[in-house]
Amino acid sequence: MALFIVCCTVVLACESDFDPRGEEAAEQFVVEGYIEVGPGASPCFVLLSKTLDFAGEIGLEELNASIVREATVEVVIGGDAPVELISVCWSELDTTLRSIIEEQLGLGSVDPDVDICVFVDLLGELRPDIGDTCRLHVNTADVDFTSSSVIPPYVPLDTLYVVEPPGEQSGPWRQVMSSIADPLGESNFYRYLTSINDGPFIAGLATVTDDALFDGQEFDFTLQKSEPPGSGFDETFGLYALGDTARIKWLTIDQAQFDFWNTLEFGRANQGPFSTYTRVRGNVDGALGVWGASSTDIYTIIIE
Amino acid sequence: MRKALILLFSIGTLYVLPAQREITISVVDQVSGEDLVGAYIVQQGTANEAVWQDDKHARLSLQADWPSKIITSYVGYNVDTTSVSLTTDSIIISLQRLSDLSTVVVEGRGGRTGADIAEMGVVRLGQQEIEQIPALFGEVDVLKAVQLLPGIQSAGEGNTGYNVRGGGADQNLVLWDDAVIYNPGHLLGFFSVFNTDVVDYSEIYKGSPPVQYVGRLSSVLDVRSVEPRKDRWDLKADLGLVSSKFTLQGPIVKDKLSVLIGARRTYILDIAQGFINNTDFAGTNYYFYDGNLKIDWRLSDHDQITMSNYAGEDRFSFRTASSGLAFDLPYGSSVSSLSWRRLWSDRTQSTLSLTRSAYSFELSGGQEGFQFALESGIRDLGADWQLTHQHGSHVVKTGLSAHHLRLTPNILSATIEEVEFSPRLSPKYGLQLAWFLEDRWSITDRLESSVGIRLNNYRHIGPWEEEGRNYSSAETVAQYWRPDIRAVLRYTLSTELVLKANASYNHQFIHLVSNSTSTLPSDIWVGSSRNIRPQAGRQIGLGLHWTSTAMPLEVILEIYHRQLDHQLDYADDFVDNFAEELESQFVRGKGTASGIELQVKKTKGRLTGWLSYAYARSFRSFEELEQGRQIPTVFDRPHDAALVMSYEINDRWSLAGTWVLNSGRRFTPIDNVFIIDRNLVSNYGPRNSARLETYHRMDISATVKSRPKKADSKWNSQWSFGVYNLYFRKNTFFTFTDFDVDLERGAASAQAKKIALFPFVPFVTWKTQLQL
Repeated sequence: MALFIVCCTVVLACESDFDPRGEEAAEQFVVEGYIEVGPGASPCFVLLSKTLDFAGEIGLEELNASIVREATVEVVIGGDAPVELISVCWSELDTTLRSIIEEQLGLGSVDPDVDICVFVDLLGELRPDIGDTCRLHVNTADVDFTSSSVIPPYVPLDTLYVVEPPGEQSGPWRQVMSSIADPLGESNFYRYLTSINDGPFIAGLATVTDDALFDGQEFDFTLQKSEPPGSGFDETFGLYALGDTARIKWLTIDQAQFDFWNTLEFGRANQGPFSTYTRVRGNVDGALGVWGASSTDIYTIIIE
Repeated sequence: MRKALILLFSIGTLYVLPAQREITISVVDQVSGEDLVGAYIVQQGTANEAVWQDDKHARLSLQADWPSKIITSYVGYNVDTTSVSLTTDSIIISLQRLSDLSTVVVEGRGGRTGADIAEMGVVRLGQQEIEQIPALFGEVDVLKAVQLLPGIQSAGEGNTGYNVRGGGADQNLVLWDDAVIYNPGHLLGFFSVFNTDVVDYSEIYKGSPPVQYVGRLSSVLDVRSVEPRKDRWDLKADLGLVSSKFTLQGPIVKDKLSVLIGARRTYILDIAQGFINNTDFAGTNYYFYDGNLKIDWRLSDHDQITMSNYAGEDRFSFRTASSGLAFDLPYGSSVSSLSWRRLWSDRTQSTLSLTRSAYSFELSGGQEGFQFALESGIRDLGADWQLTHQHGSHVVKTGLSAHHLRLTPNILSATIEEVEFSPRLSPKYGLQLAWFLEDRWSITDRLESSVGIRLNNYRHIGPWEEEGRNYSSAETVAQYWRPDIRAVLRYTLSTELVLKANASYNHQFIHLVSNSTSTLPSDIWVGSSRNIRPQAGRQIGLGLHWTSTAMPLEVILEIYHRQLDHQLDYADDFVDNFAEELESQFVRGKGTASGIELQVKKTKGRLTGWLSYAYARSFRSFEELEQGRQIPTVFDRPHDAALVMSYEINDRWSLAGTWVLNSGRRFTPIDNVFIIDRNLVSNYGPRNSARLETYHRMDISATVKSRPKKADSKWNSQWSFGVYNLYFRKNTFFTFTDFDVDLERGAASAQAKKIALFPFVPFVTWKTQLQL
């Protein structure tokens, strides 16, 4: 009887649509830019967009309207001269070129009708190094945004290896492990993305960590396969399939970039009863978003 | 009520009857010294009578034919006849408890709010009143009962957490037999730690508690357990859908030494174990249990020693065989108090209490080579001494208080294979010392005052390491001296109308800042330190108490304004990373709260209950948040109404119902969304600037008592049936967002959903009582 009542309570619990918007809010600019050093580095690029209304379905028209195409984007490394990034819009490219850029920037494939514009160091003029301060300056529609980020020293992963996953049933699924020797002293911040069979690098639900709990220690740990937000949880969550080729993009990042991803991921996970909101801590003055400098490498392993 | 009116009338006529003289009377239990609220006093052979309306003194107008005798009676006690001399102007009368009655019959419903005392915002609820209120799953609860009073709001649907007069949940002091309860909730706050079968009564002070209580800014809920029977053994058992409980009480040495044992346990998932064990989640379970042990020893006619213990734990275990993931989450409270009450004379009594309160939260588990453990909590060792002396028209209370606190933050440790990750954080220690003095003075027949001061000293003490210095055990790291001041005035305008006013300034030295919309077991208590100053609160209030002479009707109207300093909250980009001191992540600011509360009570007859309404606002401002804007609190819910009714159809059947209505809870809206890394992200608007829909709900219950087979039957029972949320109101329990971006398709969606819980929850409980 008791169980029946509880089951009834759960079944009768109702889910319905909810409008979380408050008073009408002004549109804001969004910056997403990266500058990387190391063997796995992508060319420096910046995506500019505007916020979207929280309005259920967001179609092509809204997506295209949110993309900023007219802007001056400059990057300064240390005391060097500013380098203006070149605007490349998908509508200007043929399919082959678009695929190359998508792959090079790790953007993944995009519907051809979505006219993404990316500001990119197409000529490879930027030559950042460890410890450099990379400053970003954007001007669009008479508005300026600035940010800066420091490229931290790279802390490599040790050899990757494959093990059977914990639990009773492993089947065709495996777990990837690695180890790291975290340098003692300075705070270090890490992020990783995974790619399966030459697909795009995808961020998982929790991609960043600092070394507050393991400063100066050496240990083995699991590198879960990135499952994008919205993926269901099941017993294969975060596991790699036998036969797959996995690539791990391992980055050391600065604190500002860590704070951005950390607040974003915490806020995304912190949903449900009793939870409150978490505001994403961006590092771009005048806009939402992130300008992240990092040192990086890519590790490849065949799951067998 | 009639007696109260007579009392008021007699007070009012003192001016015109010069041949009469007033005597001030207090009535206490002969052994425990506890105030016997509602005691009836009459001058023998005359119509002069009075009722002691609350824990203060009553006044009786005596005719001039001195000397005379005063007859005092109280339900459950022997009638006392005391001679008073010509020189007597005040007296404490001690009554002896009758042996064949166990519980005090509380007359009236709707809590006692006391027109005749210099006290504002105080309500007493007895066990019977609490048990008549329909409750979720039939689990009647002290904390949910008090939420039906004006100015007290629930922290969430079905939740035992509450907010009083615009204050945070941590600003409520909850006491169980003198010991502090630091987390009064079971099952994420859906149930309280109080087993109502063991509760005698609860008394709540809103806004401005007396100075004898350890510092909290918003309220004190003083819950007292039943005094065990000293004449015979009684067994009481309740069977419910969610839990069952029993209480056994009786004498070990008749009339001298008695004991009470109570226990409760839930079993919902125990019942489902057969099903769960055939799934991947075999071994997963949840339950909570708690137990009470009280020993009452009457050493002499003047001495009583009471030991009261409570221990309870929630235990959640999660297992998945396929992934090998397992964790255990036990948390709970244990409190003990040892009290010695002594009547030194008919005017003087003292109480010495030694208490230990502890709350701990643990989470441990892992997956193969990875194991982790997280622990937090608080432990409070206290000694409190209080002396009450009556002299003339003064009742003076003074006392000393010392509490040693150990506050454990989230301490996380982990191992991966042989590598250990040691915790960085360590417990903090605090010492809270206080001296207080309070004088309740009947200045004139119409005017009474209560003025108190409490001098507090709080120290953050070692062991501690800060700024490169190691503080040894008990060495002071930082300390605060803070005085609390409180004054209440009561003025009798007429036989029906009493006017009250109060002003107070008080402090709070430990803080619980929650990063959630409700109170959670994982919330951390943090002590004042070099970086965290004590919270301070100033309140002024005005009250009007009208007692009808024609009907059993009372109307209480109170208005207040509060200002709060050194308030704490989390920044809106707070992430709990278990590695940093929480105090480094707080924002600090100010607050205001103001409101007006109305309660109309019908206290006698077949139909009893109350209607309450409050309009209140609550704001905070933090320099580091939104340029210091006045931010409404999550619990800024201006309209708060409740209707609580009980109807006795006959000796066996009774009906009860409640209806509540509140403005919706505040939330932080999403201004818009943006795309980062191919995913949608929320861009939030101003904090708490939007509101959920209005909350309302009706609960009903019917109770039928067994028909005794014999007049002297030693067994009785009753069934209660009811429904929580009778009309399927879909009150929002929580909301969440659901984002999807598919750039390959050139589409995205941003959806928000709300979940309504408990739309219609029937319940049934069976209670039985057996005289052994």
